[in-house]
Amino acid sequence: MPKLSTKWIKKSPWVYHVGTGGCNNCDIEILDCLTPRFDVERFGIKLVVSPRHADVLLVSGPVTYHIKSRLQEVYQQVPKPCVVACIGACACSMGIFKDAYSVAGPVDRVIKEIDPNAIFVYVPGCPPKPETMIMALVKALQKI
Amino acid sequence: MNRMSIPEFIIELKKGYSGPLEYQQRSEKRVYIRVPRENIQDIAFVIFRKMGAKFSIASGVDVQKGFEVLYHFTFDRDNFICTVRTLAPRDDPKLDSIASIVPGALWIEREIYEILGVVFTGHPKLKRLVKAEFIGEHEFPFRKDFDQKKFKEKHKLPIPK
Ligand code: SF4
Repeated sequence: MPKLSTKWIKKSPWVYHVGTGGCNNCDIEILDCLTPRFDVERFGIKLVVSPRHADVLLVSGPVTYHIKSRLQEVYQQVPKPCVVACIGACACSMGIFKDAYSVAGPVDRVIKEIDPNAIFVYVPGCPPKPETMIMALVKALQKI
Repeated sequence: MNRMSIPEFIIELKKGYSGPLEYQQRSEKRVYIRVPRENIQDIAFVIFRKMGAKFSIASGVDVQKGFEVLYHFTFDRDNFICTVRTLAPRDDPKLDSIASIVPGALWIEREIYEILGVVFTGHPKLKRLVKAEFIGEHEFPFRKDFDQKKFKEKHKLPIPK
C-alpha cells in the first residue's frame, strides 16, 4: 500500500517553479501551462508560492554557479517525497550552455550531490510544449 | 495622427544634435546611427529626453577594432527602432555613461562592464552584477581572447573533453 503522503501527491500535485538560469523561454512555457487554454488546475496541478508547500519542483535552465547553492537549499525545503521535473534541454543536459564558463551542471547532478535518491522526470525540448509537461507529470506521478 | 518616418527622424535629430553622425537605414523599421564615443551623451539626450523614445536595452560586442556598444531605442508610436552604435577602442575601453540621462541603463551598463570590460565613466555605482563571485574582477568572459581552458584550470572547474 502506498504511503499516505504519496497518495495525496497523486491526487493533486502542487508545483513550485524554480528558474535556474535558462533563457526564460521555458519559464514562459511553464506559465503557459497555467493559462486557461491548458488549464492544469483542472487536474489539480496548482502553482504554489513556497517550496514548503510543493510536491513537484519545476526546474528550468542549466544550473549556474550562482544559483547552485540556492537550488540545493530550495530542494531541501520541499517535503519528501517530491519529484524534480527538469523542464527543457538545458535542465536535462545543459543544452546549448554546455561547457559555458558559468554553468555548474545539469539539474540532476546538482541535486544528487545532496540527495542521491531524488526522483527526476526529464522533459526534453527547447522549449517543451505544455502538453509534454502535463504528460510528463502524469507519468511521473503514476510511477511514485 | 501621422507617424514619423525614419528620414524625418534623421532631419529632426540633426536639429538637436550637431556632432558627427553616420546613419544607415536597414529597413522601414530599423535605423543604425554611428557616433563617436565623445558624443554618446548628447545623442542620448536628444533621442531619449527630447524625442521621447523608449530605451530598450544596450548590448556589447567584441569586434575587431574594439568593443562596440549598441544602445537600442524604440519609437513605439512611430513603429521603428533606432540603434546607436559607438566604439570603445581595445587599449582604452572607456565610454561615457548615459545613466544620468537614461536611468534604465544603470544595470545594463554594469553588466556590460563586468562581462566585456567596458568602463562607463560617470556611472554612479559601477560594480559587478551577475557574474559568479569566484570569477575575478578582471576576467571578462565575453571577450574574444578569453581562454576557456585556462580559466577552468585556474578555478579548478571540470574541463570538457
Ligand atoms: S531548453 Fe531551450 S528554451 Fe529552455 S531554457 Fe534552455 S535554451 Fe531556453
